[in-house]
Amino acid sequence: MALSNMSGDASSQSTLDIKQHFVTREGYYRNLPTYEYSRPNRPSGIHAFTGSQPPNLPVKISLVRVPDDDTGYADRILFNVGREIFLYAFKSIWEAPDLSRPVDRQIHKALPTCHDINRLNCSAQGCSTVVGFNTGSFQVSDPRKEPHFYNEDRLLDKTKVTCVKWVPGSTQQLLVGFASGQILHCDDSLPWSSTLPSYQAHKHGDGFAVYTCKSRTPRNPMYRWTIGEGSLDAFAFSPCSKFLATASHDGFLRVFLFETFDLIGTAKSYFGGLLCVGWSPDSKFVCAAGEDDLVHLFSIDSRKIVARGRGHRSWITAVAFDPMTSCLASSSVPASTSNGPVPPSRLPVSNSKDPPAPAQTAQRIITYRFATVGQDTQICLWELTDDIVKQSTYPRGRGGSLMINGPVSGLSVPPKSVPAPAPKRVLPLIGNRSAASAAAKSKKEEQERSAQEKKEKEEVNKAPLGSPLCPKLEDVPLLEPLVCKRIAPERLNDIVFHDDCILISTQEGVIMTWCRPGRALPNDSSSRQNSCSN
Amino acid sequence: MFRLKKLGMGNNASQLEKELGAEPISANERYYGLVNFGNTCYCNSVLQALYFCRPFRERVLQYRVENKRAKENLLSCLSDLFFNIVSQKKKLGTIAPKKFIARLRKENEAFDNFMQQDAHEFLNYLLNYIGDTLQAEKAGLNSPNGTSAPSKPLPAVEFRNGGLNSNGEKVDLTWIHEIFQGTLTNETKCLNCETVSSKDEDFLDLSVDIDQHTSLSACLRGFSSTETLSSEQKYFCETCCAKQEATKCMRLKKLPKILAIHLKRFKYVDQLSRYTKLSYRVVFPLELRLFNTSNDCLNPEKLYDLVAVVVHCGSGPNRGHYISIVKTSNNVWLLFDDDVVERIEPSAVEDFYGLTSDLQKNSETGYILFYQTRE
Repeated sequence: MALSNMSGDASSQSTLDIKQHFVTREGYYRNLPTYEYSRPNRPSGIHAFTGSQPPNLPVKISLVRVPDDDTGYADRILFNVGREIFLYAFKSIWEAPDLSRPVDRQIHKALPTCHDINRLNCSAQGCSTVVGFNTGSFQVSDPRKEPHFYNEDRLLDKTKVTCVKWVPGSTQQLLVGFASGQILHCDDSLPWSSTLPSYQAHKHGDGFAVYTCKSRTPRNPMYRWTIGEGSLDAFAFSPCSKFLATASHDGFLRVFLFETFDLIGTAKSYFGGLLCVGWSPDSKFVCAAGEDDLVHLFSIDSRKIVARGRGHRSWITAVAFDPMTSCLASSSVPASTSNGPVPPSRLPVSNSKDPPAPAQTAQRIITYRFATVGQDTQICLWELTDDIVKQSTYPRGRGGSLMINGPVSGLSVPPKSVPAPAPKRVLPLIGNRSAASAAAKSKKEEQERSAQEKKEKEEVNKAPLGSPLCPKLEDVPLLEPLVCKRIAPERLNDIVFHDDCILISTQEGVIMTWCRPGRALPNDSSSRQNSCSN
Repeated sequence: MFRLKKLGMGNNASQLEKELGAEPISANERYYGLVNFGNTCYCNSVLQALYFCRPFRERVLQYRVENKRAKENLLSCLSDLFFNIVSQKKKLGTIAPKKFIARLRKENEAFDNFMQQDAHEFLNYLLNYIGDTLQAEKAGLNSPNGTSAPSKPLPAVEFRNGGLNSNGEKVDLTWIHEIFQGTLTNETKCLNCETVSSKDEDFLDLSVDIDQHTSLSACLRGFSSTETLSSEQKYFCETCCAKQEATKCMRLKKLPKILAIHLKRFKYVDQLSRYTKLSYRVVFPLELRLFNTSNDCLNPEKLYDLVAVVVHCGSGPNRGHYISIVKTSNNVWLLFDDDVVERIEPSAVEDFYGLTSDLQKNSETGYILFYQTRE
């Protein structure tokens, strides 16, 4: 009988190896157990769901900062546990939360799966929220009117809602993603039809399509996206609001120009589905991770995976960049020269109507800090430095060799005379843009393009390993985590960076507050001696 | 039997047939539950999983055509059973694998009782039996009768290793080896002279240790993690001609067409003097590549698809129940619980990852995973 004869069985033995702090070069991060958020009256010390497994739905965190703050704590934290949704005033590390006094508490028949708070209209008086449910319905609430449920009849989609987000800059528009691979772009002020809307194709490309409602007056859903095969597990807007990145169960990361629906970048996991996606503060890098236990860093500039990271021992469930510890280049280096001249065709931002936000281009980030949490109950902190990015970026502005990372199987390397070296896979961008500019192009051309796209899609799905889409393991730098620690007895679900702390949720329904180095707690002298000056 | 969801075949069948009918017509598949002859779920679950490993099924069916006059053996019984399933008129139904079970009990006394058996042990026995039978036939001998070759006691499965050829030596490769056999290379590096010596070992399935809150990839990496041989375990280095400290690492050199991975969920606990079940949550993806390949591995980036899982339900090795979940050719997942066939959502595969707390005694956990190379 083949039976385990190993004696090492550490993980089940005790909670001794669960860390309450970790150290980086900037100092000492520590867990503040009394600053935890959870459902009120949670039995402490005992398993929250005695005798049974915790519910299979992850606990997610939505956090907003309310700048205009004269009534005390106006920041809000929203999270789901089981059938419940809690909204609390978020007091960071300045005051332990009074769990008995949530701002709002809702118990639903369906299980909440995801949520978002609108950043624009949030005040101490209230905020607009959207909550998605496992039944496929979603609820939009607003301080001024009654909360409203949509898709309760499951007409628009029968699968669970996987991700909801307000469209940046709007108090009405939102995106709702489903396990079917569909995203609905809705506007809370537009009417909803009671029958299944008839859709018409609006745009399609490599592995995705966008439809609009066939209607003379604007109505919901404004747009319907179908993306990839299988579940759409997560999506995220870039901080500059221009891009939408999606992570799908087919293993693909896709980056779109949100306004024009152009697919500007694609990458694939090493294997298995991608479960989470996050943006760097300057919108230049996307991190996606999932079932291959790896983190994948995708560069918007070079449109390819520039690095991977290995440290987790199970699937990765959430990723977030830390704007506070991502280091800026010293101010003596002018941003314009350090950034280098960028061919306009390569920088999608420059094509859009709005100028890039000054805050994002004035100073250049040279070290990106980000964190991932996973089902292995570990947090990993990572650093992506300039030299790693350079190591794996195409030489710019010159007709140099396209692949510096070795030969690419199955793909022919373009001749050296090609002036602007762009990865082959971004072709749809050019195609789509020209089609958009000249609306009256012949249908034949359209068909040819779609045939081409179909062919490309098949190619992509067949064997992308070794291509810029999915480089081989040895072809890109493999990062090791700065910090890799078990911090909870249960799976970790979500992570959010705040100015003073890191918030991490666990499957048990607890949101841990990890104090950053150098932050002094009220009535707490110990924090000072633990803090580190650099 | 712990699964309470035992629905009769009756009403369920027509509903399931309807659901399956809605799928694009594929290889004209048959989905047949197997009747339990008293604790034979260990056998039924493995047979179902193997049936849905298509390269295996094809070769088993072929055996029947090629060996019409052969004497009855376990392989011919299996071939008849598979043929019985594929030649059924109806898409769904139940079949009693009577002849196969009778033959199994005759061939191996370890299975000749009504006790719960270990599904992995059975898989191991069956694959080795087929390999031996085919080799014997190839060598011009008659197929082994009840008393010859494979009736010897079950091959004790060494730590970390699935079934070797029962003779322990390389013989002609048969189709069972073409499908399931991979090669491990055991690299030992002497820390004194730095000489690396490597020894290859074939396997038909991999037995890996598991840990709480890990993924299959992490368990496989743990399987190939570097071990240091020191103090009493020192390694005799032939270059140094002395016992030296050394590092040892076992990695995959040749990847099989079908990779069968056995999660070592049964562990002997000294204090209790019995085996207990590790219900740890070990997540396994639908798509897999291996990280633990050797440098001289021929095709280290092979992509595998999960095609079948044998699931153990219950609290310990000698009690409980086995079921299997399989992926059909049109990407529908089916659950076979002896004679019962149910359709499950692909997302329901996660119900079989395991548990994260010790409070619950019973668990339904993936036990043997079958990954097939993507063509």
